[in-house]
Amino acid sequence: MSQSIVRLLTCSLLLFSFTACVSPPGSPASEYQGTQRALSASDGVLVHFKVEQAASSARGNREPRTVTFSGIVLSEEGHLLAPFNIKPDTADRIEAWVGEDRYIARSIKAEPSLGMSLLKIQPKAPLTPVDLSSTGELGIGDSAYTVVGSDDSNEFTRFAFRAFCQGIIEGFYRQFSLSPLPNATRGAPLFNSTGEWVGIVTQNNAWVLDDLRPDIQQMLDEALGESEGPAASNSVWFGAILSPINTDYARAQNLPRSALWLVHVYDDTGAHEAGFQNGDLLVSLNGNPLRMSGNRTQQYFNQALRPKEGQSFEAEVLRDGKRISGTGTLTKRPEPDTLQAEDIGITVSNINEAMETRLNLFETEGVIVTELKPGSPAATGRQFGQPLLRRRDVITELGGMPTPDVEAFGKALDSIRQERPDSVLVEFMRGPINSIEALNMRIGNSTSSPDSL
Amino acid sequence: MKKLLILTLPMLMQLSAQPLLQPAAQENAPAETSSDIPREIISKVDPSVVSIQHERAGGTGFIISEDGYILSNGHVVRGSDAEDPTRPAKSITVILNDERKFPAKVLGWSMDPDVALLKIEGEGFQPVQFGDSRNVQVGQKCFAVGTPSGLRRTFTSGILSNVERTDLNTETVVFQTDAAINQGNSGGPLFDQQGHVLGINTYGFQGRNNLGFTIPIHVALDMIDDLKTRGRFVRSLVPLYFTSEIYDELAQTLGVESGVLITWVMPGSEAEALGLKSGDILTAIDGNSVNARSKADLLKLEWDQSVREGGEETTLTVLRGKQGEREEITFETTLKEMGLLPQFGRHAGEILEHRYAALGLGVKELVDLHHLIHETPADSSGVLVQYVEDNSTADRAGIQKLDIIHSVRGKEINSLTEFRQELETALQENDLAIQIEITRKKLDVVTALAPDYALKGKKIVLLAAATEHEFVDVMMRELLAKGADLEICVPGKSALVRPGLESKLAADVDVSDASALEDVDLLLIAGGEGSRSLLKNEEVLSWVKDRIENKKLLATVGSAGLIPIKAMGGKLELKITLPSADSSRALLQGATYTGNDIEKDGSLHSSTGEERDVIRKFINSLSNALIM
Repeated sequence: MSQSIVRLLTCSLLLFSFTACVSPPGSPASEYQGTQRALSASDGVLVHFKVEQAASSARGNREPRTVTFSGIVLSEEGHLLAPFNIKPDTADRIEAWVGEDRYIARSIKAEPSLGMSLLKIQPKAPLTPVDLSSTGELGIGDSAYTVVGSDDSNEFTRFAFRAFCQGIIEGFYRQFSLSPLPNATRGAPLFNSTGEWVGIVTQNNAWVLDDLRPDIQQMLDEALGESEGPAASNSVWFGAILSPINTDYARAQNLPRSALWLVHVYDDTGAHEAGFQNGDLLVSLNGNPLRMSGNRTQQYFNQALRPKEGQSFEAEVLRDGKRISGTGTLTKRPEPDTLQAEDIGITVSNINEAMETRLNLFETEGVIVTELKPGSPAATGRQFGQPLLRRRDVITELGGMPTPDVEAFGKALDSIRQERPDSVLVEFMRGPINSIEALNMRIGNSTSSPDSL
Repeated sequence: MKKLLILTLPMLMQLSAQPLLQPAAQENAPAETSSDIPREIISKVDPSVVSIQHERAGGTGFIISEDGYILSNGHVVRGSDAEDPTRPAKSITVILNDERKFPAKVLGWSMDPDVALLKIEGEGFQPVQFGDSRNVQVGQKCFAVGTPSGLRRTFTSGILSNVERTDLNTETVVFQTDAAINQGNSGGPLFDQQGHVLGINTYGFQGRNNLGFTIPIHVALDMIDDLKTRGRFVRSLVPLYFTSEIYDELAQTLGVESGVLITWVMPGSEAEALGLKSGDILTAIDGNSVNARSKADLLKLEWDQSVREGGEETTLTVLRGKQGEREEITFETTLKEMGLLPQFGRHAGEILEHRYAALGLGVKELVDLHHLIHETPADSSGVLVQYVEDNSTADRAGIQKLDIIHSVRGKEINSLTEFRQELETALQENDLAIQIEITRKKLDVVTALAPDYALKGKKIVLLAAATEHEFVDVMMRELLAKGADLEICVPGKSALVRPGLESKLAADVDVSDASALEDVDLLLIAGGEGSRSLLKNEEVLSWVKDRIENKKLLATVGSAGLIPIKAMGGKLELKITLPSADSSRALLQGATYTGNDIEKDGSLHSSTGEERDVIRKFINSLSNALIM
């Protein structure tokens, strides 16, 4: 341990608090003890994540980069809690260190409202999960301790940090307001001076464990098959695009500051059933006014809704200065029909209203390309790296036949399969622009895995 | 077709066909081998090649006329003004091979094609001779000359590796050469074994070997006339921008062997008005058959059409219908000129941003091409948000880059002028929350700007000459956005016409009445050439003297700094800054000239005011002085 301390000081990685805890005699003994208890409590439950983010992701033209953060072991079977919204279909490579063992982790569930994800590894031996039933407390002015693991880029296994609890931030999930901690502590467990787990470190503060516990437990239960199964709530939605009201605008117009604009209400959804319209201002849910302002209002709404299929809700909106109440039933997000055209090298799906808005599509009378198979006719353009078709293209005609939906596309495909032409004309919209290309059907037998949308 | 190439090329070649100087040491020089660059070619080209330097970087160029016209790359002379993408670098120096230095003026430039035309004053310069870049061969020997990495006069040799490179997302084909082209070579000539220039060296792949790229010289020559007379390259608006070459598979499926496929006709475009339709096959222009089987063919065809003059009559012949049922249709039209280009691809853009730095918001006029580039609804109108500063008023309002602001204070916005009218009126009235409605892709969002109005209640008079003033608009925007009680005073003219300010302009301010300035917190005098006319205005001089003597806040921008020097009769004891061109005059009159961008001495604040950024810093500095 002493060697580690010297190294830490040399590397200037540690805040004064840690040196105060463990170095020169004369430091407050309680702080030293607090650190030791945190180190002891974190034994085996720490995870160090290293994520190599892909160069181009579905979220945009992002440069490749590597990010590191902390996490917590939730189960003996290898369920890990990570402090980011990592979607299960991510192309990012996620490495997880538990102690000295390195694993490749995959995301099995993302919980956007929590800003956390559940990841899974295949451990070599049963892991030591964190004690979710911990009921420790942390008061204003108390010292709090956190410990983070390390990867194999240095010889230290753990780093400890101390912070002060400056206050409690109210919200659906309360947060401890902490004195600054390094970025690498994000996702790490926060302990009080007696070594009890009290929270999870966020970007600037820490979630209060008491408030998070039910949701973490539910997420874990679902993953372990003890609940309704994964994604049961994920696909259920209110049925509208929401945007928090700007507080300056609210003040000027004498509108509630805790409110959400219904920017777009989708057909055949709970919000639609309740009679809500684009431009309505949502002010209350199930009899309770919305709380907080800005994005936190949205977070509050998502949590308060607790989406479950078939569950009814009552909400109130402001429209032209009048309060209008409506009731609706939460429904599942519609899943569009898809079709895999192996010989062309694409997977297509029908376009629903949500896709039209989310993907900013300019044509709905067609099928959208969701996957592209490398080496296929569709993926082989006249120039390297520039496929003829791309994901998000909307195909309106195939082989001269209109393709307003998957069924029509399938018929056009059948016709092509019967005729077996050397080339097939395809007409499609790429963004707002119409294009025409001819696919060479003699090429492409790649068995590579498809590149998902 | 523009006549420039046809008429001027032989003329320029004749002009430059002067007796060549023979190197003095030639008799004792080693014998040439076939791989050498012939000595007479070096002596022919070298005197025409110049080094270009400016405040940011530099490159190479070459003289094309005896009276000092120079060709280079657009990216060599590009400036750094974030709001004005057309602004070249500020102070450009051209250095000849005999070390003579000349200040140069950029007459026009473009990033795609990457061409710039500069001018230095003088006569008797040695121009290059031009080769025929439309008739070049892969494998043909070529040479490059330039100043790579700041190294002077560097000749490299190679071959033309490709003469139809189309995969660099450029508007024209470019040549590829293995003659070494490194940073600093940009803008230099690539010439053939006769010493004739084939192109302007432009790109190189960093970290790769022998991959250099060159703009064919005929492309640059096509542009010179516009760059010289209009300051920008003006394309003709030919309805052929959404086309495809008819490659093998398309030829098979369409059942045609030649032509150009029209893949899309933009709604509301000239092409649509003409009656062209998606799927038409263009077979002839003006009775001459056209054919594009490759991307290079297509780019060449498009370029030949782009360089036509607006106003020319043209006839397009297309085939329409299914295979076996096709009919030939002829369309006649008059070519129009293409408007200002937005930023996309390699194009730097030609549309100015109007920024309110105090709000953290910059907007641009919305043009049709923006809808295509940014995928916004074609029927949306308003102004395009180009800039949002982190943690600014605009950021707090949730406004995002590429949003379209279509309404301000509930009033529909269809142009930049209307936007400014509404926003600046709201700022002038110190609205606490200015309602803004936005189109964001397919969604409508409503929000509000809540400016801080740090200068609320501060009375400022902005004094500007009636003509040739500079940055008045920028200063006015920033002061309004800070909530100042602003009046603009134009001696000799009733008002500067600025949207949103008509009611506030000092049409009724009597410039001869010094008492009108008594309760003014700041008198700010705008710069520009016109400010020199204020030196003869006795009322203005008396105002300025009064403010200096009574230690009231006075600020000058650019050449307006000469006014307090004159007003005090050469006894100005306060430090002042001015543009360097005015420094000797200031010094002769006994002023303490510092040359700093911004100077503060007691109640006198001054700025060189030659850049937008400096003006903004100056306004911030003045704000601090007013608030303290």
